[in-house]
Amino acid sequence: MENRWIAYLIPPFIVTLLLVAGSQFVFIQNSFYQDLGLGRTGTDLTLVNYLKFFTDSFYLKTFWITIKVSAIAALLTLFLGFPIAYVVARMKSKLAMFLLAGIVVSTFVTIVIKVFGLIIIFSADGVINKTLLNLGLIERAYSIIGTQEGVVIGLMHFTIGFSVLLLYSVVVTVPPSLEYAAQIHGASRLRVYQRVIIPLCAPGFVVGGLMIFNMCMGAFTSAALLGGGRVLTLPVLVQRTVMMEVKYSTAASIAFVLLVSVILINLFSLIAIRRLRSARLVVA
Amino acid sequence: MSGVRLDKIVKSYGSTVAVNDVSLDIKEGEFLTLLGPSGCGKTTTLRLISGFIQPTSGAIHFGNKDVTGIAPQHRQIGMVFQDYALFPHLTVSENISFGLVERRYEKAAIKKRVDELLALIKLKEAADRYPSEISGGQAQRVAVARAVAHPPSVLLMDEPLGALDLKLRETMQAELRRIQQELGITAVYVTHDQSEAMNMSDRIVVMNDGIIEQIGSPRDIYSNPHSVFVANFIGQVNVLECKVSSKKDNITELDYNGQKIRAKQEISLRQGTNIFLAIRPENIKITAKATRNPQNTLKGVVSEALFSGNVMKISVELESGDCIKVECQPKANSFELGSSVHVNWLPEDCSILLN
Repeated sequence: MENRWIAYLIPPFIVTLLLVAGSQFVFIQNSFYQDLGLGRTGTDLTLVNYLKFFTDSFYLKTFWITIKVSAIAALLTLFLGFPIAYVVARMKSKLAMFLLAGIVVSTFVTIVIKVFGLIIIFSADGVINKTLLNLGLIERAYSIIGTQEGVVIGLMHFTIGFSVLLLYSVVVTVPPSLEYAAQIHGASRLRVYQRVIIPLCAPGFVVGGLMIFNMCMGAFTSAALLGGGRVLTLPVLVQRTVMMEVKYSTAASIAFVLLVSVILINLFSLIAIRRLRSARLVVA
Repeated sequence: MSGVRLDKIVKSYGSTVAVNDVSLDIKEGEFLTLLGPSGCGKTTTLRLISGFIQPTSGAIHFGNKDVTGIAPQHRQIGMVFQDYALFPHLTVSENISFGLVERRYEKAAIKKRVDELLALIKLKEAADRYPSEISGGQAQRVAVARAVAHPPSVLLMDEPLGALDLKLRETMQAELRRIQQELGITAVYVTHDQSEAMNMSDRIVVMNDGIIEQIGSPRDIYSNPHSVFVANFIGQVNVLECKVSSKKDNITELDYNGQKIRAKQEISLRQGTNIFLAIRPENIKITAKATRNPQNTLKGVVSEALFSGNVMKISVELESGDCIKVECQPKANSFELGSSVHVNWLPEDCSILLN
């Protein structure tokens, strides 16, 4: 009965496949030809673009910075998102629905608007700098634009909504009665988190953390705007290589490195988690 | 281990009063059941004892110690939840040892105690299984073991058998009672199931609308209900509205629709007061002809007769228009619908409801 309808899905599947895989294929294939600049490529298959990436300290540094800011942003976003998700998930009133709706809406506001908001708040004569100056906590205005901290803040701003929604869906699967049971049998609030909530949410942290990490690795707008040309991440570098240097093959090789590294990092993380789980340190 | 005393406990949420002036003295080692329909305040009372919520006014004592305002983790209680609330990421023995670890028992002591409890709940073979790998009845026993691992002042149980099927529920009632007796622990049990309450309890507290309707042993509550609510809530009952006509020694004479009815009960009500009289269906005899001693006899017509295996359930429409339910042994000479019959009962088998 249901199988009959699957046939109708085949045409859209083929179109999607052609559009995604096809374009990716052309793109990736391009990365295996030497870049002669201005969009021209050599005729022989070669790994020279990749060799350049992995031998040039500029590219390696960019690669490292991308992973670093993404990992820091993902971790901080989890830490920041969890308490919010927990409070909303445990709320009994209808307010919870309004809060969730607010999070969803603000998450889907275009990142450009959100980043400009950040820039206004954190700019040299913005609210935060002025307040800190007036309180005498800092001696001169400090701008986050063009700093790695700024990029991390931008990435967190970009992903916090997703992290709250993700973690919310994890927390609601932990029945409150487990917390009562833990508490009544002698656990303090801290121990309830340590022994019940955190272990039960651990798989959610891992998956959620990886998803946020992936989003950060591929984030362009916040990294470009808050990096201000001084902090380069791989997506920003790809854009510059294509748009400003017109080196298509080089850009393609950078993008492919980014893609493969994200896949590998996810794979290794999940394998590591499975190892831990079989050693019964983390729960399914 | 100790008794529990509730002193004029009131718990209100805004303008709604969930528990209204409840005082209760639970003896050491007693199995006490809070019984009532949903929303009667029984679960709120349990949660007040557990410390998850604090009373609006009144005090709670465990033994001589005032525990009002003390957090649940410092009250030394054990609790069994309706959904078991076993930790899914811990094995059976880790679940049982949860409270022991939290209370910093030594490793050897924990192992010894867990082994003891596994023997008590007869689940030695399941020690290393996870809660998802054991049955509902086994999970409930593990929940009990976890609750009593660190000997609690009082064991609280919130409809723990609600999720089990009928047959398993009956086995578990006996099992819970056995564990409670073996440990000699004070237990407070919440249920809306009157037969469960009757089967397990030393005493039953019938609650309704946030107040205590009656406290007593199962037998006492069944045979001497104080109110229409209690009489109706516990088992089947016939309630007849009567007027007090005279009092003599311990016999009260009542007037029901012009008929004289005698009840063996002393009351302090004045003559002419309207009261309700409760008679259990199984205490009523039904005969085709009037008996020689026409005491407490009413005439009527059979309006319904149901055969339900061990008993015959007959409804008799009285001359007054009231219907009276009778339960009797299903004999060969069953009563036909529409036949005239007499129903009678002994003065000691009925009770006057005071409100």
